Amino acid sequence: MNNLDIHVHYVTRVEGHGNLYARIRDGQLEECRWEIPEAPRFFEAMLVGRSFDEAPFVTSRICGICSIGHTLASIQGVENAIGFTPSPATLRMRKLLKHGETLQSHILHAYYLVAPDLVGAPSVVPLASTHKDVVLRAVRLHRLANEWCDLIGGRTTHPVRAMVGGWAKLPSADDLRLLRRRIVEAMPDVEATVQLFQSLTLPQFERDTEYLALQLPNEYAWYGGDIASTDGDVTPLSEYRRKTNEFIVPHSTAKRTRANRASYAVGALARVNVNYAHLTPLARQAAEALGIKPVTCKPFFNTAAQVVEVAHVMEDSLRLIDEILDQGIGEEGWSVQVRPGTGVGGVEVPRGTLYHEYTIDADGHITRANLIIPTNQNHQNIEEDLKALVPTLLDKSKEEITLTMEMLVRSYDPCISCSTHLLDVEFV
Amino acid sequence: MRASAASKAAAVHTLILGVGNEALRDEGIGVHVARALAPRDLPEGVQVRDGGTLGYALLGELEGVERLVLVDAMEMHLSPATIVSARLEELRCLTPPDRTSLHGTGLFDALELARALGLLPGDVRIVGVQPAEIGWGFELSPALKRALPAVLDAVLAAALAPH
Repeated sequence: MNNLDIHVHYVTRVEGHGNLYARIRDGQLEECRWEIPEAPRFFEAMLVGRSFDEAPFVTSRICGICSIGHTLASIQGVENAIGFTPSPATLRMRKLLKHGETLQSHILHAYYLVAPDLVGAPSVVPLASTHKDVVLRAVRLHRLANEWCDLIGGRTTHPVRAMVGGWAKLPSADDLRLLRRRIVEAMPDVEATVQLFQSLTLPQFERDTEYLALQLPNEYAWYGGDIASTDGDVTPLSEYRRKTNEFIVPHSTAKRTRANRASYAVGALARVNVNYAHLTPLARQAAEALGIKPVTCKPFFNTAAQVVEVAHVMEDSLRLIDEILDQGIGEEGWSVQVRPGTGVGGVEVPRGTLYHEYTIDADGHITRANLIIPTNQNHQNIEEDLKALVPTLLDKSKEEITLTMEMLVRSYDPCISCSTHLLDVEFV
Repeated sequence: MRASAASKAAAVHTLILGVGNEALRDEGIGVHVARALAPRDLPEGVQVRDGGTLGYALLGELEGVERLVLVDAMEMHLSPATIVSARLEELRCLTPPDRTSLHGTGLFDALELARALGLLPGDVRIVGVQPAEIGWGFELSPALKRALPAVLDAVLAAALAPH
């Protein structure tokens, strides 16, 4: 392939770009770009002047897929700003809610977006007839996840019960026992999911990469912790800007980030790489079966890492529920004293580390907000991956090169924009 | 499951699902409708949910549902605040599918998959509202605010119409 131009334009439905671009001349990759729009900056402006306790509800609307993650990062950031320490019972319930969202998102991504690529189908729809049992398994697992999020958060998405300071409403012990039973019943579906991805072949493309994820001393970190790099350094959450180093590139409206190198990656693979020692036994088995051990630098394996995390959150939730039932569900209601200050929240959402930072004045009003979503942290890494990947594909057809580039982008499941789903229709 | 609401959820045959992003003004009309209907006393078996931007997660909501009423902003190239109540089979989606990311998943993608799996209720109705203003902000445009009572009437008419 001597000369080739690849230009994939995504319909992003908000202003900005969503483009994949490669220019090959005389058999050499001359240019490769990943262009993307950004939404959260609007929310930062929207938050200024609002009361501290509104932030979780406003930011939950940033994303329909990570709404629980935004809610929890917001709560944590606000609580750190005003100097409030939540009870262990509250923290356990937040982690349980978080696990529900991880299951929800990972199942949707692995089964509906990635699996079709791996079996050569154009989308998940044809799989509904050729592999109906597989797709129905995905529906069962994500129905469980929806109900789980509803049970704890009060809604499937955009939770309403988790508040700064505690919980507006808590599930009963019977609710939790029911959830536990449903998780146990769904374990064969988790094992079948691991087997399915074990039977599919992910591209082996490899590029030495720095991965960042939250880290805690005795657990696989999802909620709070320090920022650990696979390069070996650890940074306190409050100093997150030292790692994220935001910068702007001319061809994209979204800010980008870099830490020790030209780029870094966050997400399921980053977490498994950083927190491998804390995987549950079932998740550890899944990682071994799927060929992941630290540090795995194969970007397409992010989906395999999601499957590992599905096993992890299911098994870990059984432990959490037992602990909650044993130690007490906690109390409904909240009472917080506002102390002016600045605080950072860090939560591992399905696509990687999400940061929410707030400055709050003595009246409890937000005077400044800074949100850094995982996708913005991955943009530069996606582009660096593409620059290394495309030269390995030059003997392939344009269609194959384009599909492989798209599959790479898809493996990160970027938040291009979940901002609008306006239906554009005609009448038949 | 929905344990706390288990008794209420047991026999949902008609689901009203308001979808959209309320952070984009009129794009969130479905969410505003769901919120306005939530406190109302609806007939037994009729449930309202705020779907937000749920995409494929819709598939997990359809068990036992015989009639699905979707409420959303629709680009119909009509004058702002026009309300159209139609059956799913009367509409064709013009937005090309985007499979880059879950965030690109639209309602029609989810409906298409539900149909392929045999999970789609036999009766799917869409109450679409032509938006006046789409852009960052949590408030509906004045035109859609004025139209909201009429949208609620159209939604209830679709939900309660005889089979």
